[in-house]
Amino acid sequence: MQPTRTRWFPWLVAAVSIALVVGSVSLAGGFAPADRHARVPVVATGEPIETRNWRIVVHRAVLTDTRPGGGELPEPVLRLELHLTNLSDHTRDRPRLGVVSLDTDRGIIEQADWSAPEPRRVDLDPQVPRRVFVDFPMEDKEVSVLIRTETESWSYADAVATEALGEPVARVQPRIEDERGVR
Amino acid sequence: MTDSGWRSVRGRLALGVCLVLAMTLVLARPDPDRDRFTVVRTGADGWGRTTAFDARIERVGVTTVMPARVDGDPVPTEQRWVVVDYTVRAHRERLDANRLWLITAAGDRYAARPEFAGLGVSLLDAGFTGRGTAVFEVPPEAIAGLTVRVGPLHTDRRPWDVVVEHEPTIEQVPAGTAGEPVVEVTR
Repeated sequence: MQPTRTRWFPWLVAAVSIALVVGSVSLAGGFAPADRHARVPVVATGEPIETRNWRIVVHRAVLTDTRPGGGELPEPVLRLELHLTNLSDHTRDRPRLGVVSLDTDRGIIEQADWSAPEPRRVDLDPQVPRRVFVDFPMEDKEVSVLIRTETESWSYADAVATEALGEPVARVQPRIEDERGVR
Repeated sequence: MTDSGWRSVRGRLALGVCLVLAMTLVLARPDPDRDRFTVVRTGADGWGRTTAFDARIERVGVTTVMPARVDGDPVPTEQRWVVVDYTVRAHRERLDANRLWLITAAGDRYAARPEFAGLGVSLLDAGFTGRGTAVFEVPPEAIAGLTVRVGPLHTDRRPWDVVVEHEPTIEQVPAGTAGEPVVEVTR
């Protein structure tokens, strides 16, 4: 027969450990649904933000009803003017959907039209900084720009590396200029 | 050895096998950046010959301003325009011949600029030869050691897993005088 101390000691250690864990969690505020974007660092307009493949500078945000090359748009848009540098090792047409998005009262808006000052196209070469416009079909004045990085995973089945959208790395809260009606 | 002893040994053996398997999978993972095609270098006559097509880089020039196109202005760059004149000859299948790349000494891959896509050869029928120009935008520090790559070119049925590579002599071209590019297709 084992000595009495040997029998109850592991239970005591386990109980104290559980109490310590529960106490620590409780002191830290307990469990709550995580706000995915609450702890994203806020970066000032004009400051560079780096993701896996891009250096992104949010230069300006403007409500406008004019195309970048001139001419009227059918509906006003919220236009971000970005300075983008491709940090990867090959030409890419643009960042994948969701790398640059808007956080609004209605949720995250990812769909946008990308363009570049005429006669340029958006296509982004490695290490070549480029000025681009991202038009979101909306007229909100209270938004923040959410920048997310990309992740890479390896598929043994297809023997290819695939990229996916990763976590937010920065939030920019630009002052939104209103140029609607300015010709 | 007792039954429990054997069970312990078997458990550790299984763990060891799993660890070895996991390490093998990690180490055997192919390099995602590895090129998956055969490279054919251009010969003394300037041509690179493959089973599907032949390609020749005629001239490579560097400038800072591309001449004005129809109804447009000259296009300057803070980087460098690399202007590549090339010829492609299709053998027995129709090719999408407008796939050229510049590879830097560091291994970065630049696609031809879409602003000048009209200067290149696009679809090339079997038996025809096309001559065109591709324009790239590259940082000045990446010019030394550039390689021009033609392909892989796609046919109506499949991409060919072979490319032609050429290490060019690069000419300096005064701004705005890159010459009038010629796009022509001959039989």
